[in-house]
Amino acid sequence: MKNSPPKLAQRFFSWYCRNQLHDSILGDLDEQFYQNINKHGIILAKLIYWMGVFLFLNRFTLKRDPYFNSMSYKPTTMIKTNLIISFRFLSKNKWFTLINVFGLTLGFVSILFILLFVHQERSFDRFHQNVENVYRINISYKDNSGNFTTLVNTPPAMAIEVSGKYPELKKISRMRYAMNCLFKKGEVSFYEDHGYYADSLFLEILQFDFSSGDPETALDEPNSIVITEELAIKYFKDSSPLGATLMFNNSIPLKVTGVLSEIPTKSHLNFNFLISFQNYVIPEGYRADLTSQSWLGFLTYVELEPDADPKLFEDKLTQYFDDLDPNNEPWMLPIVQNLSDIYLGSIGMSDDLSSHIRSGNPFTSKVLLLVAVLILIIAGFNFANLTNALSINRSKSTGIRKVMGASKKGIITQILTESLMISCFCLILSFVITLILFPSISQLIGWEFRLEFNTFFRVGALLFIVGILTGLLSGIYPAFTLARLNIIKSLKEFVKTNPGNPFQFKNILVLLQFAISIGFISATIVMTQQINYLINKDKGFSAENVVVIKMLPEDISSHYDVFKEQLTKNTSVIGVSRSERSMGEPLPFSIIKRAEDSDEDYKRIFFNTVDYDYFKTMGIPISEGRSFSSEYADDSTRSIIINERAKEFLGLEDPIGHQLYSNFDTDGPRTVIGVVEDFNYTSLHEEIGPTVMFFPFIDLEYVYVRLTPGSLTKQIDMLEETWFQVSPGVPLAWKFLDNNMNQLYQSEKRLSLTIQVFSILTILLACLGLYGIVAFMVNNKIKEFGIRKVLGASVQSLYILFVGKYIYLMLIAMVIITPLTHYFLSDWMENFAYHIHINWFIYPLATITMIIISLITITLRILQAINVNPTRLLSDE
Amino acid sequence: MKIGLGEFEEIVLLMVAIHHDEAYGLAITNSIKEKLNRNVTLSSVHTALYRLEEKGFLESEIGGATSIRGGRSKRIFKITSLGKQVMEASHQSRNMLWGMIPKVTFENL
Repeated sequence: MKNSPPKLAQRFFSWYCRNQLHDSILGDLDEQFYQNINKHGIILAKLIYWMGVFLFLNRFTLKRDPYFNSMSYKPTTMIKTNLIISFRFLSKNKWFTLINVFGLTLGFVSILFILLFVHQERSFDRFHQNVENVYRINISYKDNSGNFTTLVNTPPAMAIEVSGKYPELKKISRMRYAMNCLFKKGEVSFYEDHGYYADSLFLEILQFDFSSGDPETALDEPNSIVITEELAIKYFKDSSPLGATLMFNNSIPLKVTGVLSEIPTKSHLNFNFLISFQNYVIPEGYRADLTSQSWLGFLTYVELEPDADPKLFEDKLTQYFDDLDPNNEPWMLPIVQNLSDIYLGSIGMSDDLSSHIRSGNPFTSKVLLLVAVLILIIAGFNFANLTNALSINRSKSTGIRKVMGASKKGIITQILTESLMISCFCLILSFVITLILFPSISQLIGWEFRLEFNTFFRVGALLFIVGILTGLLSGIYPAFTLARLNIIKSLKEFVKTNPGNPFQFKNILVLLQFAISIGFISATIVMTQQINYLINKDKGFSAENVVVIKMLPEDISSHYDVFKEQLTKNTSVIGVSRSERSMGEPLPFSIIKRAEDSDEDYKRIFFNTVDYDYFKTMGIPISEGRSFSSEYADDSTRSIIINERAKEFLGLEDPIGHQLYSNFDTDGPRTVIGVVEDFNYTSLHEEIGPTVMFFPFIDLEYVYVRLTPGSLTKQIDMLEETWFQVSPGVPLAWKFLDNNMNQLYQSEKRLSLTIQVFSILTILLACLGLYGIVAFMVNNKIKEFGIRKVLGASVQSLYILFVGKYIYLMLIAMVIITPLTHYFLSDWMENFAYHIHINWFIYPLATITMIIISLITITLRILQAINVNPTRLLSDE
Repeated sequence: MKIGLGEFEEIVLLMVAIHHDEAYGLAITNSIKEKLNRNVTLSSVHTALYRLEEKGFLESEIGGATSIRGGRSKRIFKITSLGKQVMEASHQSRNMLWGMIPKVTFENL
């Protein structure tokens, strides 16, 4: 403990006594305090001091003296003065201030956008009140080669079997994707595919907002449908058509029992109608029913008791699956996933039905956060660098302030006030800009979400802290340099910060900025290359000029043959065929074994069912044998076509004529009639798997029509005309296959676009900063140029002298950033089964690009200075 | 103006006179404690000083500062001529009254 009077007591006294008595009383108190220490000891002395302070409360000390105030320290006075001086200084250096404000605001706006995006990604499904108790059950199953695949789907019997079995299980509900539904109300008729068949409890587990109807009873009765307001208006032109009827698949009238307010885009489930589960009919030809314990084709959501441990529940479910088949090793492992983890935690899980479940990539969020940090660094460095550069200009004024008695603390406060003033201004500006630009920019990038006040407030608060810290940190270096300046030196001469050292503060900042920019440029190049590669890679079939028509299976069954016959008469139609799964969708599994193998050797192999002419229509070459043909009566039931991978996987040397058993056939094997070359039926994220193709035994949904290249609109007209002739009154839904395939890379395109935008931003920011520094250096070096010119230096040599340093910095930057960028890009490439090889040449290329861009930025300013007549430069003294 | 002088005020006034050029709050407090063995607080002495100043018996000016005072200056008090008159009047009246006490009063004590 130091032997000094208690500070708090002194402050208290100063607070209440503000007149000319203040000093003498406090002086007496202090003096008495030191006497008391000797007499009574420190503790008692302090106590007496405190007592004294209180006893002095009387009319003499409480009297306010207006003149006394101006003499004492008052924090607001200093802030006011600092603000005025800062404002004067900034408006004197308009250009630098403008660059500073522009750069920092740009940085803040980008960060704000990124934070909003990341916040959005991380707040999926949180709008459900009971989010912490709701889980989805996923199944991870083991195939014969021992690999685990995780599906978000579960068998249909599970929900029935387990409900009521475990005390912690409150509610359980199944859903089945309603793939292709034809709705009709009077003349209005559309196909809808954003919907599910759902158990009645579903709406109690996931509590979506109802605008009318009762969520607890809405799906209780069969033939009930719950629709969103959007659909209500589409079909009924009424936002609350409770009790109205909607014709489903031309046969079943469904009663509207509930209308949902718009489903938030922050929901992983993306649907606009729900039909009661009792209406779900298993398509004809499926070899499974609702009592199946192995048909992974349903979504299951559960609500657990609030205090239940999901891990324990998962163990119980695992036990449940083990008990189903106690003799064999379990091959299905349930995974209980909390509702809030579904959106970002479903990477690597697939949905057997590819319904429209939204899932996010945590990688994107991470990359964007990294980008935000980098942009903040660049913008902050610009800010620090310019503030620092400017501060040298004010060494003289600082010197004078010191002579006049300014303390170190005062000077530091002054400079920090200035940088805080700018950063606060930029913060406010960036908030305004973000609010104005948000709608158009989010549309451009393809974000689905709206700006909520709540989110904006929270994210804004975070940015505010970041902004204030940026202001403080950027101000600290110049503040301390100036505060340490030698008074005499700063008054007498121009202060130089060791120009010979290439590693001085500002050069390091510029170096890092260059490095980040070069990294961004290389990332942009590589990502663009990879996406172009994905789109243009030979996928083993040709997607151009193919029209996919998606229809109700029943419709196709009844009209397909006539439709095909009519179409093939047309010269512009090369081929017509159909299949169960569309190109681009993941394929389901079948279990296949060779005729000579035992039952244990069944292997899981992807399967698709395809009609006559499929390979011709899709342009897939047949390497051995033949395609399905109507000339062979057996083909429809006893034949199978495999791809090259399957041939290898099954170990077939000479496959044609070989017999294969599948789980679909109880009445004997199928004969391999053909082998086709491998083709990428789904996105290039996935490797091509061993695949077998059956002739259709169920109704098919996708019709493919290959057209001759040429006038597509005419051909589409022709298609529609033919369709309406064949099946009047049934709408036609068609897409171009190549568009459809390119959709698969939507998220990569979005990421690449985002990286492109930000790389332009970082380059802009880095150049801005460089320009600022160079402009400032030119101002300071203009005399040096003059002298050099008088002594005979040429314009070129001066230019190289000035610019050479930056090129040198740029090369160091390349060396630093290349390994980091390469690591990041290789990591990204791991997402794709098929990817380009990153060429090392890209990094020097990016560096050269950066050098050129920055030279363009600074050359004009330098040349202006160099070209000036030296007599004018040197004559101003 | 009220000319009255309290007992404590009179003591303080006397002390100011005794200390001459060094008459500031703490010095007077200490003297009262030492010489009169009377426990007074700093604040009561100060208050008395200010009251006396208000009555016109004292005047004050800013005096020297020492480091032990945290660099704060002292407030030195001086007797005004009015103060001197009041002190003399008080002194005389006491003397007069002392003189009027009959000897017999103290004999039996």
